[in-house]
Amino acid sequence: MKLKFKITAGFLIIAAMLFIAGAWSIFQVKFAGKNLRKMFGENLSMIYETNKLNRALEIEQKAFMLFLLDKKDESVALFNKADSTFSSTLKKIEMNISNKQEKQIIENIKKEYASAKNLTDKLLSDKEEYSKEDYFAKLKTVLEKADKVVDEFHKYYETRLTELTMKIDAEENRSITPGLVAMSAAIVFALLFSFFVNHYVVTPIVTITKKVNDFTENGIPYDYETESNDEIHELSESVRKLTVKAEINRD
Amino acid sequence: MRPQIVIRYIGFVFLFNAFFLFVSSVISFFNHDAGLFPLAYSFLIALLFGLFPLIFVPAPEEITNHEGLVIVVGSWFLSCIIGMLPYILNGGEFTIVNSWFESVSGYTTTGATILNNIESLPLGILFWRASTHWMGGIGIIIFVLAVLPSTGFVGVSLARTEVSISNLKQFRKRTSEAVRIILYIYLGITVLETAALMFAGMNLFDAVTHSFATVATGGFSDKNMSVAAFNSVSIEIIIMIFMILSGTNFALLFSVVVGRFSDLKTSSVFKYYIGSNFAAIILVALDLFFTGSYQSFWEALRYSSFQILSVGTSTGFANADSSVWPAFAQLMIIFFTLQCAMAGSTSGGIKMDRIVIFFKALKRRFRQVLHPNAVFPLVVDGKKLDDNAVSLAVLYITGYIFIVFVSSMLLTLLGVDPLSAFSGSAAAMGNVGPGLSTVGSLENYSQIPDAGKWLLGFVMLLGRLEIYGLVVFFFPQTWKIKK
Repeated sequence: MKLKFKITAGFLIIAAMLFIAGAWSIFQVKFAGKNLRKMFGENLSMIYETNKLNRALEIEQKAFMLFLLDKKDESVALFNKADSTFSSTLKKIEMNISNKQEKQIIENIKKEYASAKNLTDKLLSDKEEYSKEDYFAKLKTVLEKADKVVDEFHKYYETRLTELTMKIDAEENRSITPGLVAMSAAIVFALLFSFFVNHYVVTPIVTITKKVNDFTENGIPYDYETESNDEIHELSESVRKLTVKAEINRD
Repeated sequence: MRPQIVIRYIGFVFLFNAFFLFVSSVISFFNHDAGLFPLAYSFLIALLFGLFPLIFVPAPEEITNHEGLVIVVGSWFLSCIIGMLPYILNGGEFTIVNSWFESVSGYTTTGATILNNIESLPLGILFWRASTHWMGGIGIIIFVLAVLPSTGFVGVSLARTEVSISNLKQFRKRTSEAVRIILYIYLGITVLETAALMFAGMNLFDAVTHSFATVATGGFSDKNMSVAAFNSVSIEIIIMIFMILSGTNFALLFSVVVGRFSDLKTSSVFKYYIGSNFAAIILVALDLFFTGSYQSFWEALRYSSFQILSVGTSTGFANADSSVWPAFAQLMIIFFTLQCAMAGSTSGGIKMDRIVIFFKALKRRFRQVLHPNAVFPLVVDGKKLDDNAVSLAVLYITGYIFIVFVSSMLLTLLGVDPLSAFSGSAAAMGNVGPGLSTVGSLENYSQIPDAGKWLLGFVMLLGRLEIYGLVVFFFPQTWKIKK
């Protein structure tokens, strides 16, 4: 195999290694990281929405306090506002859920809220089945249950956010690692290449030079066998023929 | 020594690794998993490092013993480094030291893992993990020699370094033929077990990866709970049968295949192999039953037989947590971790052959004490052994135990508890895999300090290369470069 091909191949291989590593690192940062950042944003907005659900439930409690203070009109207005906020936020969350666990939590929230709404509707319709104290106790219980389920939802997204943060960290490492591996491989390859160039190119040239000098100065016959079958071998053979002709002419 | 010749043959080993990296990346490609880039990139590096020396270095007519040793040991080291690449590039639990540990554990067929969640890995990476076992089982050099065109004296020299001359002689064939027979037996066992496991209900991927791990007596499962995850008696029985086969001297298996059953009947080592495992299984089953570990004797027998055979063949699969077994059962496990199976198989450990020589030498010594003037030749399987052979066996056993103790002590210095340190060191040296306590059969090595993982990785290589090969590798005389 020709020397030119061997040396070119060596440089091309180093270039290929570095190019692939660089390309992959850029791909990781630009595209793979992008998906994770999108998911991060979606999770943050879900946490914001669950906060709104919590606030709506707090407003319902406030509304009931007003009702107990016989401020019925204000109470009704506040109940309606809370109900409207809760329902619209829940609808928004429902449109963005992506797995069975989230769906299950939403169903639980709906169930608990439906119990609370049933009680408040009865309260506001003047069909007083229970005393105010009983309504307070019952409503407090169902609102607390609803609040608990919403908290569960909130914690679920907080956990996912933590997991995503760790994934983003891991992705950052994945972006850097190919580059580090490629650089290490390129250094090792360069050393290997340098060894081969020294052994199969430089050393034979130095040896041929020495043998030619030995022949010209001391008359020692030229007897060098190259290991490889390339331009260096051809050079050595040409020098051998030259020395043989020179010897014949001398004789 | 001619470095360029060494690099050329190590290049072939890299190409062999590259083939399996390619197959693994194809699996990732079709599975659309995250293992594609790590495997494909590692394939490219292995391919380029493998091909490049072939461009520069012409084939030699012969190689020296030193060169053969450096090629074989160098191939092991560098394969472990190439094996690290997919893990490092995959990330997650694979830090640099964890990648090194997992890679060495794979190639040396130890089967100890640092992974807490094996099943979360991409399928391609899991296949690569299993492939490192399969390649390391009989030695990567053997595969290379089998696929290369006629290598003449070079091939013979390499084969005799990778597989000891005494093992090759048992085939009563030329070295090159013996190498091919070893490979055919290896392939045959793999294919048969894959088919049997699929028949028992495993899917193709699980069957192939578990077959790779069984025939190499490695033990890497693609399940977090190892074989226990399948909870299938038929699967466990199939794996036990093939563990026994994989722990048997391949020359004996060849004898059976060609109809020479007398070799099996007259082999005292084989009788000891089967007898000692059988006795241990019964004793441990009784211990487990009478101490109340299991409600029925058959249940105790199921778990004791699998665990004893797994450790006794240095495979390392688990169908139970032997760390919670009574002390007698645990000590039996430690004994078999040290002893393991027959020479000439893919098993690790001290090997039954040396244990038989040891016991026979001990018996002879007792007889000599009683009859000081009598001469008692030491005969194993019809062959008379000289004192040198006995000395070598006893020296190896002593050196082996010494290394296990030194490793244990160093691990305890790093804060590892004594039982984990000793059992882990014994399991690493014997290429068994699981130890006891925190490195038990259903545990992993993730909690071992990083320095301990580097140490255990080195111990695994010492065990796989049977001590002398690796130690001589570091002698300056080995590296005298020919000008």
